[in-house]
Amino acid sequence: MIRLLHVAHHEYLLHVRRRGFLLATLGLPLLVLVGMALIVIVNLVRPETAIGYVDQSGLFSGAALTAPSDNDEQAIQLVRFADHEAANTALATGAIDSYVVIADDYAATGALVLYGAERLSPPGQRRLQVALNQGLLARADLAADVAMVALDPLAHLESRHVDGTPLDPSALGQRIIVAILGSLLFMVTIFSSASYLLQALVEEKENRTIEIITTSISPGQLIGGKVLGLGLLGLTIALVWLSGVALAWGIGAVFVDPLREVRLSLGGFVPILLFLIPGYLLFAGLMVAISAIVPTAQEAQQFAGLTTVVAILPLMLSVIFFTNPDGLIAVTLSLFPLSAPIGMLLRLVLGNVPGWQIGLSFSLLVVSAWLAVWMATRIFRVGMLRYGQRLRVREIVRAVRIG
Amino acid sequence: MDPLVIDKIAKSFATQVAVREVSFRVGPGEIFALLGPNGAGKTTTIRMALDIFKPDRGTIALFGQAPGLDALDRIGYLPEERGLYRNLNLLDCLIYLAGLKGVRTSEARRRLTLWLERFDLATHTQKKINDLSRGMQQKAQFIAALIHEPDLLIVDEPFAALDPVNTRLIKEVLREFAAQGRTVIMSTHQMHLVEELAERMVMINRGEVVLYGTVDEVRRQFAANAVLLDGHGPLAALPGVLSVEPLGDTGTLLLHLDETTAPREIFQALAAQPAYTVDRFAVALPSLDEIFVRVVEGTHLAEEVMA
Repeated sequence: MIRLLHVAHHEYLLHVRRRGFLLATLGLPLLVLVGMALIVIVNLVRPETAIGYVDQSGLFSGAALTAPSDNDEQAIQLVRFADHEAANTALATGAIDSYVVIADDYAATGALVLYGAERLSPPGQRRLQVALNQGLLARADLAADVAMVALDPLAHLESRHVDGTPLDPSALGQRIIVAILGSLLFMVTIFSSASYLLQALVEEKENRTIEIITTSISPGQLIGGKVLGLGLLGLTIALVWLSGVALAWGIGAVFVDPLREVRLSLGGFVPILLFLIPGYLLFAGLMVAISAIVPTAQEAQQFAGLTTVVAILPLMLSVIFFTNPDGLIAVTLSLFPLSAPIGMLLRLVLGNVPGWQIGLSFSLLVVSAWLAVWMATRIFRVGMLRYGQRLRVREIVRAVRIG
Repeated sequence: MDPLVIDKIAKSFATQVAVREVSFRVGPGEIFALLGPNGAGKTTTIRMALDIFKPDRGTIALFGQAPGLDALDRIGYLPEERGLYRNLNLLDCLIYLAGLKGVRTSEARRRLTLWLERFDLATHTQKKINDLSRGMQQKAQFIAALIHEPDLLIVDEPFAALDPVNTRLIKEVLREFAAQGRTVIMSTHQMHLVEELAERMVMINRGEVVLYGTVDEVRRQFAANAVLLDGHGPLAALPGVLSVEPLGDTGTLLLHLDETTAPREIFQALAAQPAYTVDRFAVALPSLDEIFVRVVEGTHLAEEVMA
């Protein structure tokens, strides 16, 4: 056990100290933070306190302008001016931030001109838009309640399941965010660890250290140590990324309302942990076997790429999972061991999966992972010293059968 | 207890027979040579002894037990295919390899200080393995093989890539090692070093043992009936000597004897010649190099005749 930990410690430190690892691990969170900073800066542009208007069309004369519901829009006053000169004077004294002239043929042409600013802030623009809508609707001489509905026809849209029970559309959006984030984290943890494992074993085969190592420790200790060390490495990457995203989200939520309104359920991440260990062991076993079978890193990467494609198939077909999480394709992919980790994760987050399917998927994954590691250890014993030669199918079968 | 006993082992890879039937024993405290031409099955035999490969038939005993991790901890190995972590610095690489043999980091550092100094590598500890010369890498690999103070050291071509100074250093270490009661198995093609260092040897050819015994026994086995003579004064005719051949201009004479005459009788006859003073008298033994060529070529010749 001490030597297994020695290998794990060595592998972890060896990779963590590499410049490439630091760049890859810290690069994404930094990018997210920079992106979030840009969003915050854009949103920090102060909306107007007062916008003036010169109504040459008489659009607002018969309209009762109600206050908008949005806080930011509410804070913006609309100030009427009789003519350009009065508006200009107010603009010069700072009483208003800008003003618009609504042309006399506005109702027919939509012509209006903004003075004093290049453009309005988003709340200012919405504030003016609501006022213009109200003015136009007032001309149609509609009943007040009809006019209110016409202003925002989807204000009271309700979503329901086909059985009539209420459905929260924002919750579905949030679940999709959780599903995608969870899948990405899962991919990062498993595939980066498995890829480092493959790289480490092929490197040892290529630089001939494997002969020294296998006369010092058992293949089980070697593979176990590497799987543990590099698994922790994957978790480190996932934690750094998760922390980076959480930090960026936290900062963004302080300044950006839409982010504040999204409530991510951490419970959605629990299934990731359930499938994480057997999922990683399955891919680790496959990578060990590949490293023993093929002679070069290039060939190993090609084989590893094939397994990765199958594993991320659920993400590639995510639309099917979002629209029909209980359909044949989604169910099949969530049961098949290679695609199960991400497939089942998507289904668990998006809908209600029957217990027997979760149990079956998990059991198949555990059995496959155990088989993969067991076979990989046997193949590794035979293939590790085959420098420059690929193992033949007959040899692989013999290795698995006899050891 | 014998560090290594190999009994009738055989190993094939697919259709190729690597080792047919090999048996030999290596005793404690000896330097034992494992010889044979390229592709003879030496490395496969070593790998089976080290439990890297399982033999198809036969048995192997390391320190009286079947090969396993306990026994392997008592073995140091310098493989023919040298391998170190090229991107690690020398010190980290050796500490890691020592750790795999169960040596704690602090103890490994202490031992490495001495070995690196002795092997003139102390100033290169922070260099990457890739930046070391081939000879330096070889010495580093040698240190990795003995850092855990093994009871049995198996070295495959230990003198390859070394200059005469470093060759002398490795010879010195191997002799010290054996003097401490530890065992060395050495596989090499440098026969003069085998003659110099090894007490016993086995030669494998085409996966089979063709010579086995002490180095002296083997050389005697191949000796023609001849003696080497150095001396001065007039040399009278000696009974049983067929011809006298001067060896270059060294002054040494090679005396070819007839089949019925033993070297001892020639020595007695020389002693009876007061006019001739004997400086050196030795049975003329072939070098291991000659024996190696004769055995390997003899095998080829026999196969050609059979064909």
